[in-house]
Amino acid sequence: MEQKATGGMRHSNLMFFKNADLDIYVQAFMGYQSYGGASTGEVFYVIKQIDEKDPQTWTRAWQDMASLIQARGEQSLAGGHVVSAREAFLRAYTYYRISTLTLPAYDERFRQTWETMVACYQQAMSLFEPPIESVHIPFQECQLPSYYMRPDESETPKPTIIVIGGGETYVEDNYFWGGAAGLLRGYNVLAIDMPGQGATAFQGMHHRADTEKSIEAVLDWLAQHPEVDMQRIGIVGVSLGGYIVTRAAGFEPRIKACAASTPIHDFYKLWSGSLPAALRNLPSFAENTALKLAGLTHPYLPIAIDKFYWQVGVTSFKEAANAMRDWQVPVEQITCPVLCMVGEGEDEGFKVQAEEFYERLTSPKVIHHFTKDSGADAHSQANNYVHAHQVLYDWFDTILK
Amino acid sequence: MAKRGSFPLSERPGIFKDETFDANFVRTLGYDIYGGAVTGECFQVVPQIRSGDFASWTTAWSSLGARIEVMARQALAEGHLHTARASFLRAYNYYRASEFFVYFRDRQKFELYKRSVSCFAEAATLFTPPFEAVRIPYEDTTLPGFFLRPASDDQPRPTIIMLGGGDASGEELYFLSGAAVALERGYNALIFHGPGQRGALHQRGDLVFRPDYETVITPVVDFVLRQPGVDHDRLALYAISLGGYLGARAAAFEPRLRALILNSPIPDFYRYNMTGMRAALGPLTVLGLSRSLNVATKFIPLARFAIETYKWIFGAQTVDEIFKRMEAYQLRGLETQIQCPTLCMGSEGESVELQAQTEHFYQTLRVPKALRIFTTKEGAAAHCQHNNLAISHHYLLDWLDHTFMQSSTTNLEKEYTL
Repeated sequence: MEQKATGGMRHSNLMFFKNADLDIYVQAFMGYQSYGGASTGEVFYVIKQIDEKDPQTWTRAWQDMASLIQARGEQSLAGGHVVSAREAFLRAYTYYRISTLTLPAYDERFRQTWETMVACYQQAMSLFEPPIESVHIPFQECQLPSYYMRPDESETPKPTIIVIGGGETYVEDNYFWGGAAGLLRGYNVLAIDMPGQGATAFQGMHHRADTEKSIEAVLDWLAQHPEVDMQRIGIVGVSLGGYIVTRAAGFEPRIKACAASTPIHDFYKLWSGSLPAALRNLPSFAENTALKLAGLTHPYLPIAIDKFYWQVGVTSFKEAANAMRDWQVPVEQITCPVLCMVGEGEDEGFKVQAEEFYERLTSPKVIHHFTKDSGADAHSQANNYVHAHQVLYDWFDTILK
Repeated sequence: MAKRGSFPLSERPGIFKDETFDANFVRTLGYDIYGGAVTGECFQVVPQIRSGDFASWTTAWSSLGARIEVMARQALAEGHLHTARASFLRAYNYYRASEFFVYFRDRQKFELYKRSVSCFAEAATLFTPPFEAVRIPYEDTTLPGFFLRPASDDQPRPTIIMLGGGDASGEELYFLSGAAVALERGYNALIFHGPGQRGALHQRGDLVFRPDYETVITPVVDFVLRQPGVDHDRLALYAISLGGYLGARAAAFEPRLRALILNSPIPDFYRYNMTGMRAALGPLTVLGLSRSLNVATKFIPLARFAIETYKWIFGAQTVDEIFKRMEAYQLRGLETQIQCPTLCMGSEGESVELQAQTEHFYQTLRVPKALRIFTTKEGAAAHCQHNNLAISHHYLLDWLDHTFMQSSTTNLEKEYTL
């Protein structure tokens, strides 16, 4: 989300759309194919049905494909074909999920689509062996939505990774953003949304500075499980998650390894630096007009910004900026090893944050730059999960295995 | 072969102007679903390739292959076995792609092939259980392949023999024919190079395609039935592309097969080719076609490339000789001898002629049967559904599950009509 406002590049290699955001979305979601969440021909067919100037065509085309694949999943399930059903539901999830990008958070269709996509996803998860459970982890008066994934049903203590997404992801996405890769390598994985992430705003939860509080609740929950080795807990966060996890690591000694793509130590600075000064200082009504004008040439921008405001619990840029004043990471307090991941194609603001964070960090540290020729240079390595996860888990292996 | 005309415009990503380049790009990228590619790496090579320029294609993919192979070897040295395996699989696929447009007389064709399969062989040892490299006795030599098992116990399991086509065989079938997902669903799979296919041709130039492919499949079946952990009552043959002729022909002579899947059936490969060429060159006689092709090869690199490849795989010196050889690739009614349940798969994007052949073949069969044509709307209408392996393999394996589960298959057609 953050980069939306800059209109900057999230990656260096446009493939399908003139609009860089739409293009990276397609590349990012197509990449779910590595873990069974998309299929080339289906994606290419849908792309042909889209007029990038008309958000309606985006929604319709993805949903048509999603319902076709969902029906196939139901058919396979009825015939007892568990693998086919699981893979179909997983792809249906992805396609519904992409369709939500053009639905405003306050639109009833957004909620409906969100419910359908989660239902598809949970169908898929129930068909894994062992089944992946949807769990709700109590935190204050709320429930953090999460999925608890185990490579097997034994109670042998194993290293465990908490996977956290960003401002635009849903907890379900975390299977593709590190969950599946961890499972394959024998880790327990807890995919989770922190307050404000995903659709937690439906429960009245909003983004907050003190992510260590919610992580504390998560660790307490994990500690009740015999198969979780509490001496070997890793955490990874992408995009906004790069703030969430580093902040938590600054307070929570139970985190033994922390990875961030990219680490963000001062979210306020990143956010307030992301819009031109002229727009930053506008009164709210003028800001809204400006956004509407921007929406004429970039119909997706106001939708995305509105969704982020919904998650932060505000209605204007100024309020958002105020809410973010305390979003600061006590970098010097972090004692566990940290992996910093940075893409060459990222927006400058993220690169600067990552370098500053790395410089200040006093614990054992590694910084990995994903170059353009690695095909993994996008924000969050959204164009090459497999390579990012190789780097990530090879690093986790050295610390937690 | 990923033929011209078999990849409908409606589904082409249009990344390359040239259809063959576009199709081969999608083919390479599509293996992502089984760990053979990732989007970012594939998209990253695109700017390095000029549509229709073979050399740029080869260099771009082979450099990518080399880069990933280095990663794989480094991971192996450091003991990151999962990363090593995943990287070797991608290196295989990128080298494989790089080799595609190299002329067979060029030494580079063999060099790149060798590097591709050596990466696959490294990956093969890193699976649990490892894929077993096998040599299948055939006449006075052996054919290379891999036998893949879901577990190392010798419990009898259903087994699929995977037969490739004119340009896809052996290792590539792990992805293209879905051996990866068949394993996950409890099947053994044999992937191999038969006469006329890469591995055999590189081994001995005279191991070219032959129309009487039962002479190949029979020893392959002998071999498979000698392996431990093979349920003799659940043996299937899955044949793709040119295999749609070869496999149908072999099945007519092989009663030990208990299920047959053709994607798609080609009862008359000769007519299929002649019709295709007439569509491109005009309503000419065979002699006229031969003359036109000889001229075309002088001016159109892709035509020259296709003809040279045909010479290589059919063991012919001239265009006329290719035509002569192809004449023998006709079933001429043999399909009625097929005794096992048969699934006919096809794509809406194929030529009218091929679709008609598929339909006719299906009608002629005298066994329990099913027909499934994949559509543009599903994003699956390319040759062998190489643009949507997920859907293709789901359908195939669901059908096979049923066929092996129940003796009566009367409800199959109904159940599988979408």
